[in-house]
Amino acid sequence: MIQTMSTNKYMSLNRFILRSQVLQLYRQMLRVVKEITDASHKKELTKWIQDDFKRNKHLTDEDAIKMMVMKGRMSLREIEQAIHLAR
Amino acid sequence: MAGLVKCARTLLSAPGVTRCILPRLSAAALVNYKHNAKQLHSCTVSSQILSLMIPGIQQSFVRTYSGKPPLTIKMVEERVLLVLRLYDKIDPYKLSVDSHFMKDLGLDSLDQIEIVMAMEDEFGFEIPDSDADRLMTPKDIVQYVCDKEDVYD
Repeated sequence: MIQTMSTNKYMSLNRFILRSQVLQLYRQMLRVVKEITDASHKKELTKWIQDDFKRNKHLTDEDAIKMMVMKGRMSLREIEQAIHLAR
Repeated sequence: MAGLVKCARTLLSAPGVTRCILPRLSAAALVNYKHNAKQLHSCTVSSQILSLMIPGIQQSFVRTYSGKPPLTIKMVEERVLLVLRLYDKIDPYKLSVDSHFMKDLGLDSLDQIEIVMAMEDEFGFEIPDSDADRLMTPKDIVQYVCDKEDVYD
């Protein structure tokens, strides 16, 4: 999402922090989805998460990235709750 | 059996009215005991006959808990490479033990995370985020798994 730095070889600190946040979120999401027992649902949701992250991986505007991270955290919470309820 | 005896003892300690039941009770217990012993005996005999008749059947008294077969570095390497070969974004012909996921195989950091998660599934333990960032080549993963599973040779 944030690693495309065409002008500067090194990314700024802000970028670096945002990047690690995004990667952490991605990892958390995949971990949560792993708990789903139904195989087809799991596959679908995994695909959905991967596509969403990959679609936005070329974003460079920091505010936009922040917004996406917030959105991602909200959906993570939503998924967690849904899995919790389904159990 | 012990329960029955205990029951009889408590009856014995009770007032005299119940005392007349006791002989009957103990007699019943005795018969019961004999019966059990007989059954036990016949059971062992039949299992002996069975093992005589079918020489292949041998009761083993080794308990196998959910253990894993011992790993070697070679095996770990093969498993890591197999998982990577099955991953659809990696070209199996380009893959080698030393190829860097991002520089040589053209993957991004999201793919690298997916690879690490696949390794977690393959080897059955969780890799913390701080360690996952450092696993950039198949060799790194092999080394890391070997360290975690205590494989040295």
